[in-house]
Amino acid sequence: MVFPLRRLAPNQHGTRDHKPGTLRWQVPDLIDFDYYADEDERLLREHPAERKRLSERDRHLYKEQIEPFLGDADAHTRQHRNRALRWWLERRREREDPAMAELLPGQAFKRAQRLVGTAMGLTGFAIGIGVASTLLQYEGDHPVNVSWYLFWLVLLQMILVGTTIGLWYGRRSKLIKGATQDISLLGHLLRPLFSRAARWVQKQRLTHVPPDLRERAKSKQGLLQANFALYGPASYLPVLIPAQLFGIGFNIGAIIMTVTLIWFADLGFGWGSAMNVSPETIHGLTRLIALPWSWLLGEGVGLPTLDQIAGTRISLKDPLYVLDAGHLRSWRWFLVLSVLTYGLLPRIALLGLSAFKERRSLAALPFTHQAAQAPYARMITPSLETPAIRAGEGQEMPIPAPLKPLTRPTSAPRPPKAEAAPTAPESKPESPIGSAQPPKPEPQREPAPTAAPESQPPVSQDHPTIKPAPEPTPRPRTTAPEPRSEPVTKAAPQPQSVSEPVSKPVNDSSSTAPDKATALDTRDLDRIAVDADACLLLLHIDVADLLEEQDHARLQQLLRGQTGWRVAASATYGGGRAMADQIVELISNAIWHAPPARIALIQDGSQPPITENLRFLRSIRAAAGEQAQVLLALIGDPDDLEDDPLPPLSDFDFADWQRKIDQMADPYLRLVMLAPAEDETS
Amino acid sequence: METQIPTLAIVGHPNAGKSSVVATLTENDHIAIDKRAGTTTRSDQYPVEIDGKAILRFIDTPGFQNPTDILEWFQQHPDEIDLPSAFLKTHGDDRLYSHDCALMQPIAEGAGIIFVVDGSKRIKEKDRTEMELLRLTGRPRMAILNNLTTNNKYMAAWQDALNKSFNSVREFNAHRATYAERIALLNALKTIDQRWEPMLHETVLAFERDWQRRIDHSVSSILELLRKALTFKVVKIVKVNELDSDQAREMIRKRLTESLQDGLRSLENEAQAEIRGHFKHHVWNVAPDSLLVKDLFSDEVERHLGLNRHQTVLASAAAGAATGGAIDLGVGGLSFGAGTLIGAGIGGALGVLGTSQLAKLDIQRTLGVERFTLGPVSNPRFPFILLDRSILYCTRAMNWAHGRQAADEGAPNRVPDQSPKKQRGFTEALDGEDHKAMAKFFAAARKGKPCAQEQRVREILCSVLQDVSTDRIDSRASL
Repeated sequence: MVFPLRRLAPNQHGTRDHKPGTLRWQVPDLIDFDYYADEDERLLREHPAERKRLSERDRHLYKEQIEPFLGDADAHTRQHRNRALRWWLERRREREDPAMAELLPGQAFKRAQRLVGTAMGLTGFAIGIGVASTLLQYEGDHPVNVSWYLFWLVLLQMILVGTTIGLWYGRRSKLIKGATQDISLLGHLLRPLFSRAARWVQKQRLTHVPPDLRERAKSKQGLLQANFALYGPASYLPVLIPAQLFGIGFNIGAIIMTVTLIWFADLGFGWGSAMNVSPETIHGLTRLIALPWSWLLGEGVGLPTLDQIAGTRISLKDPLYVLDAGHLRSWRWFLVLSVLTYGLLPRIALLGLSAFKERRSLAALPFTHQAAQAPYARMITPSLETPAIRAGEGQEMPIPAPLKPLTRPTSAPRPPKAEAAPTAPESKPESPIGSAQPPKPEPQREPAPTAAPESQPPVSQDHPTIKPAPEPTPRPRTTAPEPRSEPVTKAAPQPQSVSEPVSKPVNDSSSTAPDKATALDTRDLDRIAVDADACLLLLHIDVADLLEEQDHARLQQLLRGQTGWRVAASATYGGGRAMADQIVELISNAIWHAPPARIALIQDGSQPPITENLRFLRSIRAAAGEQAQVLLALIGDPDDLEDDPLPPLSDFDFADWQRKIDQMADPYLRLVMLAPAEDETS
Repeated sequence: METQIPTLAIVGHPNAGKSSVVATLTENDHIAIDKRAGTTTRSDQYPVEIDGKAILRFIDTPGFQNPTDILEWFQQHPDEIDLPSAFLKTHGDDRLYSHDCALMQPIAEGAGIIFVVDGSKRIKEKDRTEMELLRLTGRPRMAILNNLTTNNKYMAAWQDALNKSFNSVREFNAHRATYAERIALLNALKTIDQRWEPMLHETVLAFERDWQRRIDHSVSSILELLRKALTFKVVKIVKVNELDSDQAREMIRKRLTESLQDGLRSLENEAQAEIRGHFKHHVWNVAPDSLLVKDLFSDEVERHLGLNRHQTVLASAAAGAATGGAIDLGVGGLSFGAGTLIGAGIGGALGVLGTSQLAKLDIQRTLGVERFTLGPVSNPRFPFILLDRSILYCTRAMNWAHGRQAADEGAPNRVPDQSPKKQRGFTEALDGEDHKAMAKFFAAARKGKPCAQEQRVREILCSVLQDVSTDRIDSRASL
């Protein structure tokens, strides 16, 4: 993103180019994105009933105005997410009241960025002029000392540039990380400047808008501090760019001043040393410095000749007039070219490099943090989701029988905790999950352009359910699409992991879409493969105990409504450390298509969170990777009378969880109610 | 010697209601209780002291944070004789286990266990884990099913599950527990460790004695209130030349009436504060729809409390002292007393007490000034109403659990405060003889004389309160 120094007029969003693929993330976009995501989230918190409207809005936006522009990325891939959310932001902005659009926090940031950049450039320019004119002070008694000029304007700058580059490329090394928290101390200095400037800009604009608009915009001011930590380099590069602008301004100032003085004043240059340095040495050095341009402007023009150098040796005891005037002037272009070459050009290169880096890191943002999960899920989730949920609750009748009847009791009363070995007994209740899926009426799902044939598993493919087999023996691996090299541990495959290999062509018309795997031969897998649009479902044992077979369909539907994910495999947790270890192993062994990983946990939220729960979340995070999307969906305490094993959670309990989860400060962990209350009442 | 004191650690899952149970058992409403989980972060001791000597100690602990780990650790160390102490030794420094260690500390020191569970919820894996690990500690232990809601579906399952690991299981609603239920719980503690029996016996006796003392004090407060209220009067002296019209007199009468009522109200408030103090309540507000919040002179109070007219006449007649009032009442308010001097409208203003006025206005004229005196209260029903309200207040104070401060009174399924059965006060239910004794006491009080009936009235009140606390008399929760 090269900084438009001159363009101070605000950029109108409407005028942007909307050709497919041309939309890129810029830093102000991130700020606006955070703003919109936060606005939606707040709306949902205050008016849960808006959920449906938001889902419809985003789904509609996606189908009508976003999907056609996305190219051929598959849903749930990083690229798809990155682009889709960028377009989502664009569409949201377009729908914004035009007067309001100008007041978006991103706009303010953008203007501030420009302002700060300009200010830095101008400051640099002024300082450059000042420094150059100071160094070129010449009154006819002593010539200007070339070494000083070179030291201040060339050597020092080269050192600075070198340091910057060194820090940048060494920023991952421990040594430097320890020394400077993130690469730029400059960043720490400049960032407050940014936000202050942005606030100032915003305030200026606010005074010119009608009062009602002002009220609405007031709330947006606080949002300028986007969640920088999430965006890595993309967040601090914009801060580095003004520093480059400062350098460029400085060099231009120095050059212009030097040239001006050369033009309009008589300058005498010379060099001196108390050591016994011969002019030949100096000449050699000079030629070395002038290497970049000496092919174009040779001796006598671009650099002084040996004679000239010998003739400009300053000896303070001698009066100036003993030196030849032509020799004294011979250094001038050498100096200008030095500053140009070693001061200005590297700065310009750095600016370009920063802009390039910024663009690249912006394009690579995964957008798996929790604020991004919700809009993305709303976009890619077929919008018929709500009615389907209601049907599920109202009566279970319409749900067809499971394709493969499972005879195992799903919710045997649990014996009072006698078992120390979690695996054996625990696995039982959950087996239904992996197993036959009752085909449930699938929310009509548009053929996503992205979705390759494999994405939508209409009818359950062969999904192997690994039963809690007595003792797992190492088996032939399935042909994983991307075979990882990691050795499959022979450690017990999870109690029940269903994996779903590549599915057959989607059969959209079929109303049954057991997202789930059907039980497969247990022979198969040690590792599960998780498709790009699927996740690993982890059920708390309390929940798993209560779920009947037909409930799994609804569970998956709800999950899909929240995330857009199918379930590739499921496992039970909450029964002890051994169980937790197995899950961690399951996660790290899984073959994740379109990483980062996607994990959904279902837990009963009617008991407050305790350390144990949070520690488990931490271990999941550690196994799944920093940017993996982890969804924690809470349900309430099921009431036998209501016959609903997945009831909504009370707001109070949810808030209790929310507080604790917030304290974990895991930006990629999203907490939701699996079945929000308004569905229940409606 | 401290070690000899029976010590009970109240443990359980976060938000199970441990602090409420402790607050109610120790009648301490200063314990911080919050609906949110994790309010208690350390183990606090709440000793029960008799004459300055601790005889029983409750320890409020934080909730379990890592029950599964604790249980697994216990299971991995079957050879340890003292599991809790060994656990503390290895985990004492781990910040993640700080709550667990805080709750394990008293257990390691030999405390008995009171395990509090929320009986309104289904049994979860964590609950089973906690039951099992408490069983492994080998300490005497009792479980309390703290069910704050009407949801009783899971109670049987809880009973079964808890019976396997605990010496004793009791239901106990920390927000509604009455005195009787508290004593029953304390008695049940005897059964979990025989060695504690003498101490607990003493404790129970002490509680009972203390309870009796509170009732005695409260009755004294009530009698004092009645005595003061029945001699209370307000006086105003006005120069004759300022009384130029009937309107001016009417104004004076009104003002006097107001200040008489205000005076009576503040007397009642003082007495209520005393009673509250007797029952150790600091944070307590009466339910907003209770008669106790209504004005003392409001219609509703008049309608619901005191004796009915028939009883009043009988009692008053028997007392023979409140003749004037009784006659007033008997003839249906047609014969106004001296107050009629003032003119019409008096019945309307004072009519809150039925057809009879609250007090008589007496006007003395001397040397250019008129002296208006209103009071003392002559209405024969009023003392009964005041008495009823005071008894009602006592019953509330007695039955208000100290752990109730955080109760969600708005929760749809909370346990209701008993269904309304009776709409009338306590005194009405007494028999005629008692009424007569009371009326005589009131009459004597009005004159400021000591009365032979006072002891009798005191006994009547004591027995009423006693019966309320043991649930033999309905506490009129609906009033």
